[in-house]
Amino acid sequence: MSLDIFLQAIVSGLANAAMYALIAVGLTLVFGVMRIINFAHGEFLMIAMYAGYFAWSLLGIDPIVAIVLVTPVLMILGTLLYSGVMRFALRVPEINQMAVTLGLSMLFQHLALVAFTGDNMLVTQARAVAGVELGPVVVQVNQLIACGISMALLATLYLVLQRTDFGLIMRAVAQSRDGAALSGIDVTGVYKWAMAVGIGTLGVAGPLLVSILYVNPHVGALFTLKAFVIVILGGLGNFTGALLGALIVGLAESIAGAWFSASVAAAVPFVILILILLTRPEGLMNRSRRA
Amino acid sequence: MSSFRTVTMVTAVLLVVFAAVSGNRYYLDIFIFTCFYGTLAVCWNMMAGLTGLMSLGHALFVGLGAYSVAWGVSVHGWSPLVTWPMGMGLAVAAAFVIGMLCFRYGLRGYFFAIATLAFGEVAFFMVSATETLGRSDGMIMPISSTDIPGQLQFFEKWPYALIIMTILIGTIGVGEALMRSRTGYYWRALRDNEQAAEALGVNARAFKLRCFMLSAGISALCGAFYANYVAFVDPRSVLGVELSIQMLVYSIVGGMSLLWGPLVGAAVLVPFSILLRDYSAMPGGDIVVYAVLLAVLALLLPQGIAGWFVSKWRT
Amino acid sequence: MLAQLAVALAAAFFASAHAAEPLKIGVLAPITGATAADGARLVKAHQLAVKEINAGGGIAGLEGAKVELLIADTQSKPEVGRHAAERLIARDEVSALLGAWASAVTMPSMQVAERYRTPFIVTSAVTDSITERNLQFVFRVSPKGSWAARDVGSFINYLRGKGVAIDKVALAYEDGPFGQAVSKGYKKGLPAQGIHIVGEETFRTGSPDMSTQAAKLKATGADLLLIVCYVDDEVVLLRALAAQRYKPRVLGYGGGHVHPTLLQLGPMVEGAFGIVEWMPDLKKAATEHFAEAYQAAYGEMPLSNAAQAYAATWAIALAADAGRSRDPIKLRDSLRALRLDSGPASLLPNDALAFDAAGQNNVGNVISQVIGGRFVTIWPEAVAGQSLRLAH
Repeated sequence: MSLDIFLQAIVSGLANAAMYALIAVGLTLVFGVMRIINFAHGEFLMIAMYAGYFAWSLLGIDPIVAIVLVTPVLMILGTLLYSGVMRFALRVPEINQMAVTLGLSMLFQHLALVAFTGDNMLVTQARAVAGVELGPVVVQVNQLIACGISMALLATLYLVLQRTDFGLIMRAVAQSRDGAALSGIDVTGVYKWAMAVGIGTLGVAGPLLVSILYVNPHVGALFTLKAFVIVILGGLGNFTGALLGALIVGLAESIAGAWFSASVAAAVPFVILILILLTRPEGLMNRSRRA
Repeated sequence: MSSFRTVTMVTAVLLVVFAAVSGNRYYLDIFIFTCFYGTLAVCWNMMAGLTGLMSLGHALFVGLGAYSVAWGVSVHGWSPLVTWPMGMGLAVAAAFVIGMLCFRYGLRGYFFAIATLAFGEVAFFMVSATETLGRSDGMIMPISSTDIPGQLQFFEKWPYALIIMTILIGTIGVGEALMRSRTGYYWRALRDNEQAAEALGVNARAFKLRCFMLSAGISALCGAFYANYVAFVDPRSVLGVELSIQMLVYSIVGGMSLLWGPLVGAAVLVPFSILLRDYSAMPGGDIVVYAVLLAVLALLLPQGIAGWFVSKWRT
Repeated sequence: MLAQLAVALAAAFFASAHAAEPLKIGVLAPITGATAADGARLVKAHQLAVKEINAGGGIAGLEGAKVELLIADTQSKPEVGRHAAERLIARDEVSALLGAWASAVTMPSMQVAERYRTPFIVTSAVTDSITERNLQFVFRVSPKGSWAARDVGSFINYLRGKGVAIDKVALAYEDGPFGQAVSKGYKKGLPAQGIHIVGEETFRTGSPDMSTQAAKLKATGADLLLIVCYVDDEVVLLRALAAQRYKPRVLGYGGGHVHPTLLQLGPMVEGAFGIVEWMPDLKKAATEHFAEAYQAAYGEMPLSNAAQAYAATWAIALAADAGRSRDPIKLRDSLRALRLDSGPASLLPNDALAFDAAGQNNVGNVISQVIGGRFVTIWPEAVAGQSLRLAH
């Protein structure tokens, strides 16, 4: 493999990683605060992608601008998900929560099929086929945009979680629910916000992704397992861990894809996951290591 | 309930249902698949519900069993007497290696679950790329126009039903016997508090490994049965994540604290979803009902149907 | 008045009592699940055929029996499809089965048919092995995946004859059942016809980015790119190629390459070739009839797999007519003897719809091209709707 191709693989891997991170970070945030693994995460991404698509096809709004509209919608969906389902799911064992979100995921996929048919829908803008040359490497314009917006949002989110009272409260609940409740924090309110932000990030990811990809009722499922792997890799509930996990999965996929046939390449991120878990059994960013 | 009574009851119920449906190939097909998923869920739950080890990669073992049979018969014409033990042996060996690695390095909870999932996915992609195993297309096994008992080829379905029933009853029997033995108590001790159990001198790693290997062996047995019954295997059907998740779903709905709980889950969900699909006029209606039912049962009956029933019955 | 009504009722009663029992045909199609969009189109084609058969007085050989279609949803899942086949045979006692779109669903379902001695006509699956396992009850209307190499080879030589320089050919395919089956044929068949394959790139369905694959393909300098994948992946790949400013001639395989979704890409796909089992503008009488009837009934143009579904439905009805029996085993024998060189079932691009000893219909593919934002058939010239356009 030539150096140029290798560089291309790295750059594509980085661009993918930025999108994966944006998708995974919501999942890990919800888990960190509520200890719930949401298997319907990908379906909310699918909803956001449809929203981005329809904003473009019906209202003529550029997907980038549509983010401003789609994100609040997804945040509201997040709070509805909390009040309608997750609130009750907190009372049952963790594994039952997985079954609840699995049920939701099946339901949303099928409802989307009924509502939008199984055909792929495309956002076709001139820039969808444009590329930018960076030395020997070509990046698609839409990917560059997605990557930039994703990184900006992740940085903002990081600052909010680290520097504001809101972030402090979130982290407090994540650390100890009872402790936070005792110090007068409205835990239910925090849960609702965690869900709103966790699902809301998909409101940014969806429109960006639909302009790169396509949307159909099953597109979200392509990302759920990947996001799940990323989140575990980084250490469940850990924000920076999810970023690192996304970086590893994105790069591993892309570089392995340049070398091997696609099936073998698809196995590579899982091999890396196994190796990392064997050395750090609670993920990369969890320091506590019990024998 | 004593272990003998559980086995007798399960056997009795299975025989009654079998007698009721044995004249009808269509119902027998549903019965066979209910037993198939029931066995898988029971052996999955021996790990998850009874020992506290949630695996999301059990399809790997089903796949080892199924592919051993398919590859053995279509490439070498081997008899099930060779391929079934081979599949089980491979699965037990794989569980030994995976278990050794995971337990040696202290993987727990979700991390163990995702590690097993990763092993399963690696197997899925490797088989998808392997020419001799038919890659993504899978393998078509020969079907004879006459019955060949030595190759487990029957026109009628009842011999298959008897085989899978025997596997299911055997699984429940072995499970019950173990639950009453020291091994079973240690398993539950490990599930409830691993550190305390270890402090009392339980060799955690050895007992977890034993549980994992047993569960993997039974899964491979089911996989081998599947291959002979369906006469076709492909990565998606026998190595996909969906299969692993099905075991989890039946266990949750049935009840994870009881050995036979997952069987109840499969006995409710499998025929229910199939009949709903076959008799409803609207395609996909069964998906909606199934999805909603799954979410509602998981929320309302945290102990599962069997757990709920037992607690009602005891009070 | 009352008497008249009684007579009318009695007549109706006796008429229905005399009419033969319907011929039941089971259809396995993905109506929900990942490939639901394709399933919906297949069902329309099956229904159109049945409507025509029944409107024409049913099956003469069975005393005018009507055809009854029993449609089962496979949910695009192998296990669901397999059980649906069991149900249609054991419970509904169909005389024959049709289906089941993807190879992964078709194969377990056809094994059920084989075991229970019911003819199964595979309408669209392309995996070679389906008709290479000496199955006694399995027939296939669609060509083997590997046969694409034969036609692509001839087409490339045809292009060369027209003065188009094609020296290097590269391959890009989906690394799943579909792509693996067809590309295997290419890799074996093309070099034998003097066509050199200089590069091979693969991807899994649903890949979000194919820039690296595109860059590698560009580096091969191939002047013709053979693509085998579904339409969703194809969009991602074509965009990545465009971003690389790499513009080889492309030739995509299968229904995905004459899919309306592709036309949404506009000028980017202008001139692109597709190798496909059937096109609505084929110059054959049966094709013209089907395309018109389908468009009149559903307001859209049929895709290639719809034609296969339509032909297969007619084939069963005509076999039942010829053999004067709805018994599955006799129907199988009639299907083996069938040779349809005219009439509705002859719309595919071969001389006659007929099944060889292995149950395979010996049918080739045609080549389409996007000209002026429309898919048109350009090769073989005998059936082409329009001639090849070479401006690039």
